[in-house]
Amino acid sequence: MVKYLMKRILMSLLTLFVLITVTFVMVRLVPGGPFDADIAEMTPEAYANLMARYGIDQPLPVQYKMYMQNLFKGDLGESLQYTGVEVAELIGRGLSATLSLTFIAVLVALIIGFGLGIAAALMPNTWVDRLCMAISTIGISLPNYVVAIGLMYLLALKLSLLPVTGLSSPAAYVMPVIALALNPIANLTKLVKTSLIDALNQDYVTMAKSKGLSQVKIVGIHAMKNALLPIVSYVAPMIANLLIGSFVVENMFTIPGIGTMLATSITNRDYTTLSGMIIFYGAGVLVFALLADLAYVFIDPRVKFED
Amino acid sequence: MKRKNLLKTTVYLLLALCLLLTACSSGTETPSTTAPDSTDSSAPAATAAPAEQEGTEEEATTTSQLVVSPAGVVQTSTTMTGAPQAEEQRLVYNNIESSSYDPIRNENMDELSSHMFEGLTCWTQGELTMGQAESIDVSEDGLTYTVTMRDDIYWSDGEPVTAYDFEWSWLRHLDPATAGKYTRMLYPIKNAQAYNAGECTADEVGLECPDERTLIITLEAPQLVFTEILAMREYMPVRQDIVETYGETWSLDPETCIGNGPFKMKELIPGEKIVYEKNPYYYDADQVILEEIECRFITDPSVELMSYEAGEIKIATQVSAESCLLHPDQSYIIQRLSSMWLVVDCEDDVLSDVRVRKALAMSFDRQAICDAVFKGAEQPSYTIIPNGMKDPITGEPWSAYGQYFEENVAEAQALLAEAGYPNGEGFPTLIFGTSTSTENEQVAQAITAMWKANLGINCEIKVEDSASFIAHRQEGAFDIARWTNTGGYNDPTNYLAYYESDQPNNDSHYSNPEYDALLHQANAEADIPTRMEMLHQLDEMLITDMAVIPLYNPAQKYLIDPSVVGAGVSPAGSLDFKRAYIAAE
Amino acid sequence: MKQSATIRVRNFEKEQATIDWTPELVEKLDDSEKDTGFIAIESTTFLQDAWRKFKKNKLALVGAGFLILLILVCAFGPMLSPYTYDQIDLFNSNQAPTAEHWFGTDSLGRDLFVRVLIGGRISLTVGVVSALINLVIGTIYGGISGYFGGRIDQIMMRIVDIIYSIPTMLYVLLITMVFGSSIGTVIAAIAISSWAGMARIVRGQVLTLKEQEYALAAKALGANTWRILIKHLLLNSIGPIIVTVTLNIPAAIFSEAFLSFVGCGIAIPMASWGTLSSESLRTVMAYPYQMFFPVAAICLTMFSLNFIGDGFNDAFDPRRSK
Repeated sequence: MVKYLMKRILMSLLTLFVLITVTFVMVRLVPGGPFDADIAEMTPEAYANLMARYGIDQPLPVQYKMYMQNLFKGDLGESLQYTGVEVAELIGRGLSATLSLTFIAVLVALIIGFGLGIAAALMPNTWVDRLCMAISTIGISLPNYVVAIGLMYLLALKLSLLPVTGLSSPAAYVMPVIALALNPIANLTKLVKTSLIDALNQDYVTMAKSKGLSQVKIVGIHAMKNALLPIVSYVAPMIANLLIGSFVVENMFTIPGIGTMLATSITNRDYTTLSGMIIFYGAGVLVFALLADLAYVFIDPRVKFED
Repeated sequence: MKRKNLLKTTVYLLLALCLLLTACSSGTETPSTTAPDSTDSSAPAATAAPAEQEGTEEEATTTSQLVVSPAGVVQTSTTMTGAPQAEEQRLVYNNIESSSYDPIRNENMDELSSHMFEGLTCWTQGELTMGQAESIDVSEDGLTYTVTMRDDIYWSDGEPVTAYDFEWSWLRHLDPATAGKYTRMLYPIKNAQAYNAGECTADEVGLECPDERTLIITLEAPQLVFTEILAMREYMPVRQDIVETYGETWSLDPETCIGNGPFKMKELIPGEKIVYEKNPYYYDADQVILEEIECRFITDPSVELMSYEAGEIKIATQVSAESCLLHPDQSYIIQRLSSMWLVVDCEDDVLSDVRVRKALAMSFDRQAICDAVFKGAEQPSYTIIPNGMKDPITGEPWSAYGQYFEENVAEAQALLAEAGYPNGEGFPTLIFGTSTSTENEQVAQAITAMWKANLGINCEIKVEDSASFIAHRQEGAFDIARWTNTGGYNDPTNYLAYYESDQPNNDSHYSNPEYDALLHQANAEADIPTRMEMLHQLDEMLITDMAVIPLYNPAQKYLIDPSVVGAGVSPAGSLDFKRAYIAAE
Repeated sequence: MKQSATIRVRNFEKEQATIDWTPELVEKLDDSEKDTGFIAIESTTFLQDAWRKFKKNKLALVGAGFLILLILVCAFGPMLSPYTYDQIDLFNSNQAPTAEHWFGTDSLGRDLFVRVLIGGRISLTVGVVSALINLVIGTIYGGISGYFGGRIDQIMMRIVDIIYSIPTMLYVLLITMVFGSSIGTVIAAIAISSWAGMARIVRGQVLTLKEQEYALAAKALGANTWRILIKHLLLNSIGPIIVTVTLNIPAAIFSEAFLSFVGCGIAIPMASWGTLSSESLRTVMAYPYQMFFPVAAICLTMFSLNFIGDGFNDAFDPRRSK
């Protein structure tokens, strides 16, 4: 097991390295430089000074070498957009806002998703099932900016129940969390229901029932364990994607999170911040992937890892 | 089966209901804007600010219901007139966040920085007034400005402001190592450009401080309105000790963001809001009534509107024309020093013929486009110089001087035929570039549709995001591309200078030795009326050759709560709150 | 044609005791009873089976019906309308729905009904084609990776992780830069950025299933690798695969809408539901009907696709036969 873990970590680092390099090149391939938005106002001298300051006027291999050297020292560099601000600090800032929002959204999504899915699976073809699938369908059908605007309009403007923007109070979390979690809830409900029904139809469940085990034990332990495989496949990237894909929600509710930061760093061609975020995101995904694969082993003993 | 059907129907109905609710409840508030245009016009259904109109509007045939005002005090028909309220004077409004509040690094309009910093001159309620300077003397030849500073000016931590602060700040900005983006503004100063290019030392720059209260500025050439230029953010001072100790992030922390303006930073939450409080050391502090200002950073216009309607913010700045029409008695539209035009590639095969360019310029209806897309908030323009650019001596707006062409479809068609493309036959497809933004795209579509209908010319519209668009435009990837400029001060040279031959920003690739010669002459001319005459001639030359196709003047739109009194706006569109207050009910 | 089954039971004990086994004692069966693939009911293929089950599902039928109707209307509707999608009429801009303009007009006076229909063409095309590409690439990739396991699996999954880690926007920007922002590039961008999910799921399924008895049996019998992969493993994974595909079509349509929201979507003046809804977002407070119709179209289409997906799910899964 330990050997396997070590191997995986090594592979992950390698992947990360490839990721950084690919991003480095790709980002600089997109047309328009970090300072081109202001180019009409800048004189050639100012432009030259600016490029020199950030080392962008150097040839690509030289830039790459400098960047990697700094990276090994743990220095992600300075943002091109926010003069003088370290990328690490920028990410940290955005992270605290996004994490609190995402954590709650994931929790809500898991609880409600599993709840609805289990209910639908246990009582198929009843009104409970229909209701759960209706909620699921609605959640999949509405784009999240529509949900955001709708919620804002109803709850904040017309009913004055919640503040329109920001995360200043616990009440302010309600709308962004709903907007973020709705889609995952919908997907999760469906997945849980399908997987659970599949598991419940297996022979060992009939066996367990005939043995007289309680419903809770059957569903909660036996069936669930076996149903978890495809669900875990979904949840791991879901969490990672919520972190970044929350751009729209963050943008509309004026939450200074990393989703917004990612989008603006692309628009502004802020190479350093973008690279830094990709590294962070990439590392996160790799960690989640590792956890998911480990989870596979524990859940399904039939899955073996060959070396 | 019945239950299934019932539930399914219910679900469909519920959803439809929800969406319908949204549709219906907003519908009732919309004033009738859909009346078709007709020459036997009805009076505009709802009017906005009663402030004076600029000369270019025709009341009879316009469908627009929005009235545009010049820079000045922001007030609407519902603005209260009472005295300041007794409760806390705290204003909450909204604007776009900047990545830095250091005046030289602020990439947006200087507004958020200009609350905290003040230059030698400044804009107060739309008027240019003395700021940190007490008096400014200009020499006969217009090359030397002697500034005497006030003796009661202090930084927000109590330290006195001196002329050395200004000198150091400007030199810091020009220093190549600082890599300031907007150093162009400082180039009027002698040797500033050379220093910025690293070709000379700081001592050679035309700045001198004989003593703490005196600053002598030597210019390269006489300037039209140098006193207005001095109010710009590139000329605002910063504290040497702070910048040298704390590095470039000094303006992001309330502890270290020390300024000399009417307010100082109290709190900054990046991505969310910034809070200012009154600066007790400001020389005019007893006239400043507001105690705190909070500026939120909502970017989405619909969200901002909702925030405004919920009463969470009192001034909305990312307002669309439709939102103004929803609240006509709370909207204020200022005619900024801003212009939008199309650059036409004069070196292209077909476009190098001036008749073709003229045909293109004359064959679409600017007023109709402005009415449809902007509800009349933006105004058509027949020159690239903003209509509101004022003559420094007479005070007349630029457009009063004359118009060099008119829209005339028949003539345009004749010109095109003369050039060899009757009805657009044989005319290649033009590539029209614009950047992403709903309004830009709509304008592009409207113009190209009119060209197709009136001239039979086809265009392919390419929409790209800002950075790509600008890069491609400079490379010459487009035959026709959108260009916009917002000047901070009343000098037409800002616009005319683009079209000097071989200028890096001359994306029209217009090259006319006469134009260049006249431009240089104008730049050296100290006598203002003569200079203005030359600038008008340059404008005429540019339009006669139709190197560019003028479109319209963008306007800045605001929604102001009636209780906000005394806010000012500069010609560049920056709000100032030096004399503002919240009125009592 | 039904054949009656006859089963003869022989009393071995009785016979063993008394009979000498000679070839003549053995009754030769005629060839008709030598069938090994004999099934005692009417024989139908897997697909016919599935179709029958699908038809029983009322919701799925409604969904399918609506979708077919939608496709027909979107394909042929615009030809019947007097307006085209890019016909600008600046004097009639921003009109609420009337008899002339069933869905109203947008800010340039274009008829919204036609634009929603054209948008439907684009959005549906984007959704279906990218989901299909997604399905094919993801399934093949995940299947191979899961089946072979070991080093191949490791390398292939690492590549998937890399693809996952780069934000979608970057792909799209890059592709849009090189190839322009047309339907083809948007489809390519969406498909490329989302096949990784399918690959993971298929791989997960294959990892589990390949250790199951029938797979091992097939292997023992010497079946060809491809045969095992396709016929046994993948066909048995069809449940989760179908669920994923039906989740992918709406997701693709959403991705397209998201791209339009951030400005990278289909180029103007062509419309898609995504661009229509995000364009109208700016003025939703003033003209809510401009957002209502595209969003309603998206919702109803999603509903239908989901019902169809559920129908497929139930129909194809042999373990859930009723």
